[in-house]
Amino acid sequence: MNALARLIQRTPFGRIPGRAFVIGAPYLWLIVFFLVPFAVVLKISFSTSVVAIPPYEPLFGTGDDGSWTLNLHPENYTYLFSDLQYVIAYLSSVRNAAVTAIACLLIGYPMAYCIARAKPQWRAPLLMLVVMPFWTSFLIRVYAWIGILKQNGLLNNFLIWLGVIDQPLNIMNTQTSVYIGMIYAYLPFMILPLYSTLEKMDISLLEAASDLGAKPVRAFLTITLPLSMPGIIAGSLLVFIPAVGEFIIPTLLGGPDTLMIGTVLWNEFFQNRIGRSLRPSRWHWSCCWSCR
Amino acid sequence: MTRTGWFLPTALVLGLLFLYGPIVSVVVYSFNESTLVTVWSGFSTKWYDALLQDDAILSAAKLSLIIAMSSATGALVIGTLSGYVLARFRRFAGRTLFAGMVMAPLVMPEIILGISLLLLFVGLQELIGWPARGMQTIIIAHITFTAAFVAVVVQSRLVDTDISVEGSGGGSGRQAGPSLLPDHLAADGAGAAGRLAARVLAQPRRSGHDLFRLRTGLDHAAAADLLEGQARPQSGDQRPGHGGHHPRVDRDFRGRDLPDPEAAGLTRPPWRVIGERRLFAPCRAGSAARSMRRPPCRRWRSRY
Repeated sequence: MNALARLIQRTPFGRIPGRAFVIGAPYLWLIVFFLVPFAVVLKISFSTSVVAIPPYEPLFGTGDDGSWTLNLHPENYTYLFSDLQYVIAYLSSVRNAAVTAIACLLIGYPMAYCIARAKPQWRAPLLMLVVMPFWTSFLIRVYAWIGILKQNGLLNNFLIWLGVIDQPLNIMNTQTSVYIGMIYAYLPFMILPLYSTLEKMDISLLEAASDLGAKPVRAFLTITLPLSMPGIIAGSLLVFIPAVGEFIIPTLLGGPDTLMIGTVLWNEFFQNRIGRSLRPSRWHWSCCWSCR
Repeated sequence: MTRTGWFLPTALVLGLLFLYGPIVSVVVYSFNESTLVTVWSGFSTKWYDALLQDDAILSAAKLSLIIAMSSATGALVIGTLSGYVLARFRRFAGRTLFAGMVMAPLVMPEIILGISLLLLFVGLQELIGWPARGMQTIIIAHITFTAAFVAVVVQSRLVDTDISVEGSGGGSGRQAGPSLLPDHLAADGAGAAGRLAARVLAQPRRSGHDLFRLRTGLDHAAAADLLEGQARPQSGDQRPGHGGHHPRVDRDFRGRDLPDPEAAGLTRPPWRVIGERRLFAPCRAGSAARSMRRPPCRRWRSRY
């Protein structure tokens, strides 16, 4: 294997030392495919759009006398704040993400706590059960919710069969369906960090509390909750941050009233500015997102 | 093991029903004879027959598998290298940038990374004619996006691994890269490959914390400023003549007298008060460190 490693290091520029190679390879990848794309976006953000290929003016131009000029256009940024649509979309995504995170916390905390307090031989299988939905394609799981929530879907049929309601509930394509979909998709991300902090917690603290006369609720509020705070914060961030940028769930489950920044970005990018030439086909689109 | 009562198990069962209900409904209704998705008209496997005859879907599935396997392999290589670098190389030029780039995809909306990569590919295609948008670009994007998850797992495993194990891999310890790669690819990489998803999700101990650390690191300055303004003065703990809300710290770490920060020419004291805790500013080995008689340090820390 050492011979193989030496072979990898042999480049046209001579032999690179091992340390430099180990650092350099991922560094180069990240710079080319992570940093440079952002530089490109930054560059485009400062130029104005034109009907041409590429559909924006070059940032660096040459003046009449052949000198380099830098054409910075901050209009896009002023436009961002002058058009209320973006601000509203952003705020509503933040609200959606916050509601999702809080709901995930309320649903996920008891689940994580129960798994953490279960018998040790039960913990791994239960945790596996939480993780396993990820083995199914994300799109299929969201489509499943369409089948459940729509006008003559499973939920409405079931409730009508029970006699709880006469008219089918209108859940699909509303804010509610977006919440349901997002909570569903992000719940495991909340449970796992919560579980890992709750599992490490010392049960004897709770026994001490109950010996000293604390009722279970009080013991929970004064011991368990503060001790699990790192898990709560980590889980909330894990849910909140991707949820702000979520655009596939609002696109599939949401209606005209669900405006999220991810959806706005998508529309803006593929319909308004850059033009349709770049737009991937529908198949390509679902391919991209099914493996996440 | 203590008694948990009825509430927790009920919540767990309901939660798992919530997670599995939609999946089960899809599986059950895949045996539906009706063309309508949610109207049951009898058991049949005709959709499975239709699936086996649909070349478009089958070739799409094949392509998905190819993309998944190549991007998993690529992400494993890039992610293992980055995780190794983060765990073992404490100092090199641009480490902060590197750590930021490795971790950023974890906390970034996918759409932003996707769009910026698309723009890069379009630009590259105009410049050098590579890569054509298609399978290659999807694989590259996936590698970039998922390498972060591998890196976090590998890093956390390596931090827990005894560094002396690495000595057995090659002759001299200085030859870090070549002597270590095979061993660690075997020890950590293979595990990470086989159970990547399960690991990331089942052992989020480190990843959650790292994420948390990253975010709090970013927000730290702002939060400290915010909290500093709200910190209340502690009685009998004030030094007359400045700020008012800074607790008195007039001994250095060896117990010697410290000069007044203002007298020492500092416009603000080198600490912040957060609640009842003091955090001391990072301090380079320079005149400030000398005048305050502080050991140089690179982070905000709670001990002086």
